[in-house]
Amino acid sequence: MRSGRRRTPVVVVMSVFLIGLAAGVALAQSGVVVRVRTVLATDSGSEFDSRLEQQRRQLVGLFRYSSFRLVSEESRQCNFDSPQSFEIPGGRYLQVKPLGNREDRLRLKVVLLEGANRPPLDTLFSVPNHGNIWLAGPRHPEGTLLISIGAEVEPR
Amino acid sequence: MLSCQEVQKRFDVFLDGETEGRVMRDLALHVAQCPNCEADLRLHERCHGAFVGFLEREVDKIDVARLWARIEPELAAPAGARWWATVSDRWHSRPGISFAAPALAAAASFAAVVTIAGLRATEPSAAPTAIASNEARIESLDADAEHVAVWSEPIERTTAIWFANHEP
Repeated sequence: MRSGRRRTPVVVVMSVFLIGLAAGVALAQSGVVVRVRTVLATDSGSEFDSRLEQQRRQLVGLFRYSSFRLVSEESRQCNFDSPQSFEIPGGRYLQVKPLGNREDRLRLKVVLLEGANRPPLDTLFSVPNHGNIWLAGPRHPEGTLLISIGAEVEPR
Repeated sequence: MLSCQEVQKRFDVFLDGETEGRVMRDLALHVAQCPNCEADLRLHERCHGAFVGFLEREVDKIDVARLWARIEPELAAPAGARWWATVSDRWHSRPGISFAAPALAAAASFAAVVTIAGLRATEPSAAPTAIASNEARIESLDADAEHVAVWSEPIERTTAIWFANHEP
C-alpha cells in the first residue's frame, strides 16, 4: 500500500509532463513557411543564375528555355488559413493560403491576381512538406515568368 | 511533337533521366496528353522498378567483408606505402606515445564535428530542400488562358502548371 501511495504523485507528475510535452510539440508544429521564387526564363543566351542551382534539375527538366534568372524571392512564416500576398513582377499578386497539413503534405490555395480582370489562375493543390510546384506562363517584357511555390511546416 | 513510337523507344532514358531537359520535357508533355503512352509508361515503370529492386536485393546478398578478405592479400603494397610504414613504425616506437594517438584522434574528431556543424549552420535556407518525391496533387484548377497544361519531370516528379495564351 505504501509503495502504491508513493508512486501516485510520480505517475501524476509524469503524466502532466508528458501531456505538456505533447501539447508543446503540437503547438510547435502549427506554423508554416511559404516560399515564392520568381524566375525569368528566356530563349536568348544561356545564363543560369547561380542562386537557382538547387533547382537546376527541376528547371531544366520541366522547361525548354536556355536562360533562367531569379527575379524575386520571398519567404514568409505564417499560420494555416492565413492568406499571404506576394508581389510578382508585372503588377501581379500571388495569394497563397496554406489550408492544412495532412500526412506530411501541405494543402495550398493559390490565386494569381492581375489587375481587375478575372484571375488568370485559381488552384488548390497539395505538395509534400518541403516540396514545391511551378506555375508558369505569365508574360514579362523580357520573356516568361516561372513561379515556384514551396511550403514547409515550421516548428516554433 | 514526338510520335507515340518515338516516345515509347525512349521510355528507358525517360525513367533514368538520362537525356537532355528539352527531350525530357517533350516526352513528359506527350505522355501527359496520350492515355496509351501513359499506360505503357506506367507498365514500363513497374517493370523497371521490379528489375532495380531485384538487382538491389542481389547486391545486398554479397558479403563484402568476406569478399574483401579474399582480395586484400592479393593486393601488393604500393611503393608509396613504404615511407609511410617507416614513419609509422618510428612514431609508434617513441616512448610515451601510447596516450598521444587517442588524444590526437579525439581532437581531430572534435575538430571535424565542429567544422561540419559550422558548415551546416552556414548553409543557405532560402532554397528548397531536395526530396525523394515532389509530386503535387492538384484538387482544382481554374485558369483563364488559351493554353493550360500540367506535367511533371520524371526524377523528383516536380509538377508544373502552364497557363498562358502562348504554348509552353
